[in-house]
Amino acid sequence: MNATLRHAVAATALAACLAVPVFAAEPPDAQIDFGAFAPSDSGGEFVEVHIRSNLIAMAARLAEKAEPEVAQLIRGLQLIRVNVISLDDKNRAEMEQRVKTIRADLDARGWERIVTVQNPKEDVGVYLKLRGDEAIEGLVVTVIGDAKEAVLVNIVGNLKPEKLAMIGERFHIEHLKKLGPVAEPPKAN
Amino acid sequence: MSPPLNTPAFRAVRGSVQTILLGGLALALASVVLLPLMVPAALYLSLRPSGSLDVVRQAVARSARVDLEPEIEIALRPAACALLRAGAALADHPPELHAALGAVRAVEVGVYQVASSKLSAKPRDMLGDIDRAMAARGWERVVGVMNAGDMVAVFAPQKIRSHRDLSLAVLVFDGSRLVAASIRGDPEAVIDLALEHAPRHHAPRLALTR
Repeated sequence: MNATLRHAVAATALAACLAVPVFAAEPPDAQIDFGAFAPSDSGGEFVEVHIRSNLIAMAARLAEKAEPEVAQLIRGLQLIRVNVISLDDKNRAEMEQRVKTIRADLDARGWERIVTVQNPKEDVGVYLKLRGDEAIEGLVVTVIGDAKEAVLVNIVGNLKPEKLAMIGERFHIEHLKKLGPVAEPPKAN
Repeated sequence: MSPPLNTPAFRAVRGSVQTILLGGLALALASVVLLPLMVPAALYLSLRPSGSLDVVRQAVARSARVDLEPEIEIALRPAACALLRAGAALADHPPELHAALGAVRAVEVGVYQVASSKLSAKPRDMLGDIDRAMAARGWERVVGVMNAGDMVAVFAPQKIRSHRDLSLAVLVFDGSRLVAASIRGDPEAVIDLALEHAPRHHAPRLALTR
């Protein structure tokens, strides 16, 4: 019995050790793979920002003195990803399709769509990934603006609802600015 | 009573002492001969641009299929920066200069001119080529901006060892000129210095979208 117990404990410990690297390698649930983007051949604007937790933590530390609000805002974030791609006749259809696919994927994965704007000038979706009733684990913003540019934003980390408007303010994301203090996450069922 | 001078034990001891003395003499002679050669070699190596700037230049040249002629190449590696700090410490300089020298551990700047007249790069390919070349050296791109033929990219190391020792590489390319720079230092000290001398309301805000 003792030998059996020892073998069982050893096997469990071995399985746990093997599992840890797998868990460590998994990206956070709220991280969305938008895929790779390329600048348009017409030379329009292309912006890509991809900042991971190591640099975010350093930026929070550095911003502490000059911008304590920003430091508090970004501390605890794991990923900030922004893509701005200008649209032309060659890539518009492809980008619209990609945004549709991303939105469908978010809906399928249980993300809450909290802002929807669809008019001739812009097509906007703002999604939240909830953790429990009060915490937000991730944010995705998709914008196809005025047929001129597509914007994709993914922020992963410990987000408080009241901070969403501040994120919009600080990073000039219009549709988040408007959320204001009323942006409470819908209660998870 | 001292041991007789002709015993095997005494001969063995004398042999060891002679070996040690000869070895020390050889070492001293080697140092005298090699040191004058090592000092200029060390200075040359500490002032040469590192591999990362070369990688950027080669990646841009390969992707754009152009020749890039160096206009300016300045490199101060850690050893050279340390020498500068030591030299500055001996002279009477403003404290800001000491603070700036203390914050920076290494800095390299290269400015290159496109030698050929026709740029045949596709912007979509260039950024990817540069990303791959820098990734092989342990850098990852954190910001990339392209607009009307201009390109700006900022790279950071994939692994950051310490919050007091950060490296950043920046490249700017407008089709006719490439500027590549890398800096390594204590970002906190650099920011403290900047805050002391820059008006608060001029601090730029990060704008991610219009």
